[in-house]
Amino acid sequence: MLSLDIAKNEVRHLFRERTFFLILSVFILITLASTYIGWSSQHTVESVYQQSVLTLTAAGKNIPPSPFSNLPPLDIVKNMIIYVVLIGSLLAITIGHAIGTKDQKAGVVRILFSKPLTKKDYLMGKLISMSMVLFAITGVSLIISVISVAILSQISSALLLNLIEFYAISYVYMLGFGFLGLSFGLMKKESATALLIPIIIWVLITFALPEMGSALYPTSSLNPVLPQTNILDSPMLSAIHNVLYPFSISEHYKVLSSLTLGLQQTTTTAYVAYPPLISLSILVIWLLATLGVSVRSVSGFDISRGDIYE
Amino acid sequence: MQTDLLSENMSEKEEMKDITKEASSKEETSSSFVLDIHDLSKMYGVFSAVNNLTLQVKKGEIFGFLGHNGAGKTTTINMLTTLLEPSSGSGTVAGYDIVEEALEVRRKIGYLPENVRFYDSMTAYENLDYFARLSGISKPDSRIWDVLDFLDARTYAHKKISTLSKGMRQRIGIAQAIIHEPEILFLDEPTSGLDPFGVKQLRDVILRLNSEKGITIFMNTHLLQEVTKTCSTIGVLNHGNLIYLDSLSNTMKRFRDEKSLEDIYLNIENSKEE
Repeated sequence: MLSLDIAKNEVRHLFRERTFFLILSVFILITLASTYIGWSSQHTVESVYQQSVLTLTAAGKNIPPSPFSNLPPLDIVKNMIIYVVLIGSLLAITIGHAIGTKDQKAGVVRILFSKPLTKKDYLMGKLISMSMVLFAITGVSLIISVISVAILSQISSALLLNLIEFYAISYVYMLGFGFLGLSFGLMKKESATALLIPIIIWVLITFALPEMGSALYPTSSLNPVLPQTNILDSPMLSAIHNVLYPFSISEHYKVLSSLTLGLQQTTTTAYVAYPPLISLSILVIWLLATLGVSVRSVSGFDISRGDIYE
Repeated sequence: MQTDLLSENMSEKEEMKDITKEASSKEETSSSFVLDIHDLSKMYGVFSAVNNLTLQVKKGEIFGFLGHNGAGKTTTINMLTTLLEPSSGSGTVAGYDIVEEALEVRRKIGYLPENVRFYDSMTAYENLDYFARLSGISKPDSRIWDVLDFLDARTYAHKKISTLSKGMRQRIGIAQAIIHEPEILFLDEPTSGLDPFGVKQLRDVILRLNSEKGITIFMNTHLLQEVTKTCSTIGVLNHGNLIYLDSLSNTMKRFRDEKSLEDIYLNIENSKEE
């Protein structure tokens, strides 16, 4: 019950913060941008194709099939995958950090814990609010995607289900980062350090691990396309891949997202990805691990603490 | 004449050495104590912030806990309010163990930290509503208005905390501390940073809380003038050690030659240093 009071207060507080609306706006913007860019690129190529068809018909030559004839309908939202990896997770860290440090910044920790409030209730409240806020943001993003796809392409119940699955996976992926932001917000006495550590972890997960895991394509994580060249392989690169790939959370997220959206495999690693069920399990383990970090952070949380250092 | 005074002071100092023991051995039943601690200590590594503190506070008292900065007053309050676990020793507040029954203790106490702060973006009412719910009051509306009326702060209810003066914030701080009708109220330097008018208003509030609501008050302070006007008993903490404990009236009698409580305090502190 107390955790619900805390969660309610967190949400109420966040809704009054300019930062929250900025984050929400950014997320809405990237959702719109992702669909528009997807549609626009298809539309442009399709226009060029149609012009080519006219030219080729006039010249009496054979007409090749449309490059988009076999593309899945949800291809236009594929950019959302990389936006979630690059921007969504960072926004989740920011929200988590805000929730984790709020009471310390307000200087009310001692008052809070002079009430019959346990650390467990306190953490539960924070986790619930984090989950609720991110759920709301992801939900808004889903609705925008559904509307955009319906307007620009076509929507069916199967596609709607695919989109829901994609956003559910995105939610789990981002929530892990949100929990990290929250945990370090509770753990660290300096606000800057509390924000910096989860960002370093984000860099590791988003860039370092996939790059080291794929080894041959150091910039490929920015562009989720299959390698077009033959892969140079070596026992050392394979060994690095085998060791690091399970920890490349963003890679597993990309694979699963691509599958749910019905896209071709978009993993950036040059190696064969794990079966979807294992990737999904790794994502769930990721979430549970970050939850574990949260539990650990609150057990060491100093309730006699005054303010957090800015 | 000067020699007489000196010898009298010396005898007072001798007398003081046993005062703590005398006060502790008063024939009181433990049930009349709302606060009862024995050999409470807090160590930070090798540094002893509070050292074997033994203290009892009777129900209905206003207890003034004196000491210079860094004497260990706030550490003591943090232990008594269960915010900090003692390194050793034991204690009960309102009959509950401060370590084993921390949540029960928190249900029975109110706490006003030094330089109290709130959620600035929320109104006074919203802050009180939140803290009341955390205190276990599911429908706090009527209680909030009662407390605000008692503190003469109704007009500030819907103002954002960031717009309130230090004195008003202190009242809202007391409101959150008494909203669940605690048995004992811990005040950590409550008059810190207040102007003389604010100090007087707060003093009146403290006296009314004690007389009208029957709340026992445990107050950390270094403003000796406030102690003479509000407290019934005083304790003096020096480098983590309780060096003096007695009623204010006995103290004034014992040190009748001193001009003010400030002189008495310095006398007590100096005797310990010697």
